Amino acid sequence: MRPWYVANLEAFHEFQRSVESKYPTLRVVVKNDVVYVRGGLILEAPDGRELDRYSIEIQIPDDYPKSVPIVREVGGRLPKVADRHFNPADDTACLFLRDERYKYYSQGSTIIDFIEGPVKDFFLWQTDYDLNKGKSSFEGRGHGVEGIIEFYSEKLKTKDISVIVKFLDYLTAKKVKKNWKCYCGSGKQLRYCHIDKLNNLRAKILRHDAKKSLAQVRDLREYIKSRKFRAFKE
Amino acid sequence: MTTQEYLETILEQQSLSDDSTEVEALRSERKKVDKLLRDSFEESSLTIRYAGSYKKGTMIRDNYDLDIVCYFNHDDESAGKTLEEIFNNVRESLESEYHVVPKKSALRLESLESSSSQKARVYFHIDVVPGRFTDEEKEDAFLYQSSGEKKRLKTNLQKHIDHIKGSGLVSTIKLVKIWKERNELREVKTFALELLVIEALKGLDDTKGLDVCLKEFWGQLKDNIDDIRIEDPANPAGNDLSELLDDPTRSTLSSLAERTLDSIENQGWEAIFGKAESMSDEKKAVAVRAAISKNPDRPKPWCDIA
Repeated sequence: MRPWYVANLEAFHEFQRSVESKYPTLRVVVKNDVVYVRGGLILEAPDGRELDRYSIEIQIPDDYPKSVPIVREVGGRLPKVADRHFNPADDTACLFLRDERYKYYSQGSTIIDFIEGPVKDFFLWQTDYDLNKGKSSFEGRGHGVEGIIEFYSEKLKTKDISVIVKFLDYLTAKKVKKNWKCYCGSGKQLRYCHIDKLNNLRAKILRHDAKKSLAQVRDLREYIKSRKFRAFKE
Repeated sequence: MTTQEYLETILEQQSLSDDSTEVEALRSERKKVDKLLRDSFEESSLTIRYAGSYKKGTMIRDNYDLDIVCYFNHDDESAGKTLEEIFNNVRESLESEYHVVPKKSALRLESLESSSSQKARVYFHIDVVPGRFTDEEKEDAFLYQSSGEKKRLKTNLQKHIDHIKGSGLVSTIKLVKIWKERNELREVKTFALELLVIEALKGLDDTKGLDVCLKEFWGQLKDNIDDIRIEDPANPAGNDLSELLDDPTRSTLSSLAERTLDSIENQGWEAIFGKAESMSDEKKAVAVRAAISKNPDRPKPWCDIA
């Protein structure tokens, strides 16, 4: 498959023009067939004064604008640790939970929407964290599976992992039948219970994202079970 | 505020006074390196001097390094017979306190504590350049070059400092460095950029107006980048700097200069250097909190760990 910037040169030039005209300190570069947006990201107060500045690199995926671009802080200023919301495996910034991408990088989003929204918000969080000496005034998600459970708990208004697993089962199913028992445990058929909520989130959350979350929540459930079993044996 | 006043304010914000925390930190780190080297080479004739932007007067708050040269007398072989041996022995002595990354002629230090993944790295690098004076005058020195064809480079610290300080373009150079930082122009070495400013602005100096100098500099980069040659003032014939300004780098500089001039034309100088007024940390914290509360549905950062 030809990368997007080759397949659609006009779109690439528009991409480059939009980024470089809006952000004088960011540049679009192509290196080894990969498109990057690199440079200084300036965070401004509402009155236009500079709040902070970060050296960043945004890697644009080959299937742009489908997949979420990858963001890195390259100035060496931020420690690449989980508490600062960097994925330890590759030091990339984790701007939001993948299941929530429909809110922050939905279909039709442009690179400008992405930078103005999640990218600036992420770095604003970092500035806030530093200014408050290690405690941000707006919370991030818990790490890994904890954040996934947090999100689905908010959506389903329950902390019951069995309900969340059942919900994720239905979210990842190819088709849902209305006569299935509702995930909430009421014993009613879906059609008489939470079908609307399920359909609503099925339309928003990508199946492959939900599948990854389901695997992580299942692993956690198995882990809890094994610990309980061990504790019982002991 | 005139453009000149605006640019002077930007310079003022970026200046580091002698009693600033940053300069204090540099001095204290220098003391540490100094002691470490003197303890390691007790028997040697060691000359340790500040170098780099600190000595040239071109240090900016946005990005500053601590550059130290560490030269042995021309007839002193206690630290090593060859330049390579000196380089490696100095490296070894520094490794007890720092994580050392060898560069072409310098040894870049990171504190062992800060290079762990749990802590933020120090904001400045420390580059130690080992070498040997060429004669008793203690002016010219030979450096080891760990890469490239030539393994030995003749240099002169004072000539570098005099070239920059005597150019009359120190303020313009500082503004160009701020421009480099704001644009993350990593492809271009600061040393090359300083020489480029002086070469491109022959016949001009800061007193002609900082805006005049900057516009002329960017204009030269935009239109005549291929005609500008830079040379090492300490060793014009022996130190080939062409690799510092290769074709891709020249092209990047030229297109960025063009964009910069367009931005000044269409959006004004603030598009290049930002607002002249800076904010205290307290005011920043209030502004950040205000920005946060404006959008309660902002994404919560996550971390994908198993």
